[in-house]
Amino acid sequence: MGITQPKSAPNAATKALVVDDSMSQRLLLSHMLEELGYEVCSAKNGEEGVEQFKSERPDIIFMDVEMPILDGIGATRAIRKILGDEFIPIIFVTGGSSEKYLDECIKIGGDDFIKKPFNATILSAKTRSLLRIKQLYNEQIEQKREIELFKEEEDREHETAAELYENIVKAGFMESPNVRHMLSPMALFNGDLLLVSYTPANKLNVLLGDFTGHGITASVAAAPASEIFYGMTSKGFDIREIIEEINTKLNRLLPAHMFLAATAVCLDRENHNLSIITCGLPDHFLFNKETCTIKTLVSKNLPLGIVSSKDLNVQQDHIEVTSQHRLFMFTDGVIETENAAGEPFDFDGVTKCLSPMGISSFDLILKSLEEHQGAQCQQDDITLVRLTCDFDHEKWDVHEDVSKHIDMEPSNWKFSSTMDYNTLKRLNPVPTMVNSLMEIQGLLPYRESIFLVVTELFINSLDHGLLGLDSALKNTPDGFAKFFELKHDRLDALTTGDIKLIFSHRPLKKGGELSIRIQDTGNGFNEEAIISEIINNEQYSGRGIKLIRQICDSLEYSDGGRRATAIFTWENE
Amino acid sequence: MSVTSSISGEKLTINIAGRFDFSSHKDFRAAINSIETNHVNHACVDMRTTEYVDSSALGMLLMLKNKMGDSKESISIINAKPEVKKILEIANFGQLFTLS
Repeated sequence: MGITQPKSAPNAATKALVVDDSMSQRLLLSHMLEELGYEVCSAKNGEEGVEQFKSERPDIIFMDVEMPILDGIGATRAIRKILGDEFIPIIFVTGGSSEKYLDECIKIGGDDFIKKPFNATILSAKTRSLLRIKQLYNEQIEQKREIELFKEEEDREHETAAELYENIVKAGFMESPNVRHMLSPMALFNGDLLLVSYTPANKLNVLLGDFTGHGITASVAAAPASEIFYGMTSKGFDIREIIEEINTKLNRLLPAHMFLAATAVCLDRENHNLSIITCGLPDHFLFNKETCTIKTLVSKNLPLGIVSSKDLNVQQDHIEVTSQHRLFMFTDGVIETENAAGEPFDFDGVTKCLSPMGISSFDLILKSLEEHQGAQCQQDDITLVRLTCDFDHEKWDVHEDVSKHIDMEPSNWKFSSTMDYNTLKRLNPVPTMVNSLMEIQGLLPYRESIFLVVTELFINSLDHGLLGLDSALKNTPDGFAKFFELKHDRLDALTTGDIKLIFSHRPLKKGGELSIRIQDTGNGFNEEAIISEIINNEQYSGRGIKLIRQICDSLEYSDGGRRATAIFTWENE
Repeated sequence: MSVTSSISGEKLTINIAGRFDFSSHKDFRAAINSIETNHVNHACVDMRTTEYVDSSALGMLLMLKNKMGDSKESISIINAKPEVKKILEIANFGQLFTLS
């Protein structure tokens, strides 16, 4: 409600209130102000002045000091109280005995004085100057309100962004007894991300990430990353494929300066294997509780969203683990937490807490962090994850409890697909093939079992059939890593061969029968050796075949081990 | 924090003093905005007086890379202190820039 103040004449709408018990003074001052171009109203004592002020809302007030009923000081006090943070200049009219009140007048909210008898030039100048101050003040108040409004709006947007982010991050999150985590609200706000889920073949996938940027920016990027992770994990894709897909998406989506530092881990119960892909997060620690040894896992890849997946050229590590292993992962907030002296918690702060049996290293780290931080203002930007490589937990046995009912009418169908060596180098056909089966016959309740069978048969075909790898390798310490290394090299060098997957289905009385046949062009392998493997080597590779036998009605090898046929039947409950 | 830059011939040199974080954003942007008009073909980021880098600093380096094109040789990051270098190495930025 700013007023415009012309240089010479005041605005006609500008209103002055004159409060004076002396009628002659009142009339004189009113007249002078009218001459100057102001609209004038008046009151004959303080109480009436306050009433006039309320009803007329003047732009400026001239106030006598000594008046009956309520004096100028009392009236000014009352008016200032009504005004709150609004500003209307109040000029005290003084003369003779009232000068002793000058100090008091200013203290309770007077802005200036004008002395009797009045001088027209001084009156005009003072009035104009105070009205200008009023205008400036009001403009400032207006701006202050706008800023407050803007800040409120921004706070609300931040809250929304934080809530959105939390929802995105938590949707699809599967609690796992193998994963313990601490994600502080501040860390969430800063774009830290933890995703946990199981694949149909009962592998545990975990992704820990840290976005550059926070709030709304991070939540925009977190949505596709988390959707890809949960979607692909539920379809049984490998963490390597998941990482590549997230990278491709983020590379297209994010502006140049934004990226996601992340680590993806896959814990495989069947093989006691930990696969890990590290992309720009601080070192992780793999701690063996029994031997008290710490293996440092240094980041090997670029963060995600910077280069194309081809240029990313993902480096993946495979580590054989036992139930004594604990993987500790965290984002930079943990190591950068400073103490009173400004020293960071650092990697030492973490490794010092890794303790043998009995005491929880996780709790120790949190406690130690708290002590380190001390009375410092809470930085509280902590994301800490512990992955326990415990394979005995019940959770592993079943985490899917869906009704085994299929609405689709069982029917006769068959489909097959052949992958040549070049295709095999870049593609794991199992998830896609299994997804097709789900589409054709709606076998979703059996997805996990079927996925496991196809995976095991396919891997056997590839590893032993086409690549001629010896699973005995897996029996030695570090054997797994060697096995995977060799697999990688041989696959790279492959110049011939293919694997054919044939699926056929026929209806039975209450359900159907699915035949899964996988056939390769390799050298075959000794069937007897396989049998003995099943009997003697339950721990590792043979376990897959044993599992297939448990799930399927039959499993047969023919053509010198080149062809495997598994029969899986299902019933509607 | 302060970002200063100079261009000699087709080479852009950027010096970053103190903490290299979001507060350097405006100055860093200004420095790399001169790349196209001056036909810069090599950029050198001198970090001898850089005390700290955070993830937004890494982001700014990526903006620089975006301007300079794909060649790893077109940008060198020099004189980084060990603690600063460590952060660049964790992010594997050696794959994108020449670190020395």
